[in-house]
Amino acid sequence: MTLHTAAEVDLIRSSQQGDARAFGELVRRYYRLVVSIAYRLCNDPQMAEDMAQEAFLKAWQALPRFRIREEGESTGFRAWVSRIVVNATIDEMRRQRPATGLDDLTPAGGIRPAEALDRVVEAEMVRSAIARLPERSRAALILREYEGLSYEEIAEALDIPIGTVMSRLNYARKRLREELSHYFP
Amino acid sequence: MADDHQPWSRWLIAYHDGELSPAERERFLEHLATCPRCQHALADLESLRRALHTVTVPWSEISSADEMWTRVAMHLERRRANRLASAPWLHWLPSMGLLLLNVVTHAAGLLIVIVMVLSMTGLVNVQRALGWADRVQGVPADQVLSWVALRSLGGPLGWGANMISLPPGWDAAVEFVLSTLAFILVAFVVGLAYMLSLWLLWRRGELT
Ligand SMILES: [Zn+2]
Repeated sequence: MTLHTAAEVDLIRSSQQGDARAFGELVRRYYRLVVSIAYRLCNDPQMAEDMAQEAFLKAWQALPRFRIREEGESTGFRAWVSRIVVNATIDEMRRQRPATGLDDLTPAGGIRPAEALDRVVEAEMVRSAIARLPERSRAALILREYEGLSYEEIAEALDIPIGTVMSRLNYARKRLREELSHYFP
Repeated sequence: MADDHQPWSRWLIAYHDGELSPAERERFLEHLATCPRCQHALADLESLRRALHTVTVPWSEISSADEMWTRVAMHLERRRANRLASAPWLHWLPSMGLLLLNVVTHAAGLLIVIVMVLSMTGLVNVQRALGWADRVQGVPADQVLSWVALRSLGGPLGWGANMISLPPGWDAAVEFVLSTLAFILVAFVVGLAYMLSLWLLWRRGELT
């Protein structure tokens, strides 16, 4: 863990000095996180990839201004890069469809084998319930439940106080619990 | 009763989100073992987490990390090429600037040495040649050059030219060293300012 973090610090420092290969390693390490956040926000694999690409290009330009966190194990990079991709994706979603309707939430991947249908239907219900959340609560929920960010990291990524992180998470969970009541006997 | 339990409800969520310290965790687990209300609420949170994880990212439809990096690297390279095409001077600015600085510094240094040598050998009356003759009245002959150097170099360093008056009897060698140091300092400050401006350009991503 410490080795991993130490190596990351070096990668960040080298990238800040313009070393593209070091940055390439950061891209490889954070690619899944970044794509996953974008995908879970927009439900579109192609757009998620585009947003990931945009986020990494933005990150490269903003890196010289990134301050490595001094205390703790984490460099703060995870929260920082999450912030970039959350902002890029939300901006793009607003640009593309100012009022997100449920109609355009098509299931990804088309038709599935029959035996998996129940699971697919369930997943679609969950997906659309998440999509109906206000985007701020949705972003907090995604970062916590899917990406495992701490409250502190979410606060940094969404630029809100930790108290607000907790209340957004509570709100999102309450709403989902109502919408997915069949999960809670 | 409800109010008594309020703090535990907050602990429950923090526990579920992995935000409790090891000691707090232990304390909460003790409470959880005896509290049906928290057990039920925790089961709820866990059900919700399970439900959320039925939604997966379709990785098979998404490029690999290496493919992404290839694309990002291509974009960075293209961006750099575009920038250089629109501002070619950025390409040679660092090297040409350093070269120019180097040449100027050395030329000035060489000039000082030449003037020194000429002056010391007495081949040329430097103060006369430079038109300083009438302005160096009263300055001992062997100190004239240092006087000139201090006056001309002192200016950029913030010394008012008129504030410098050589105490009689100062050793010319000491003053030569002083004026040379002054010159080096000026060159250093100019060089530093140049490097700083390069660094600022680099920070803004103009030079990468
Ligand atoms: Zn309890």
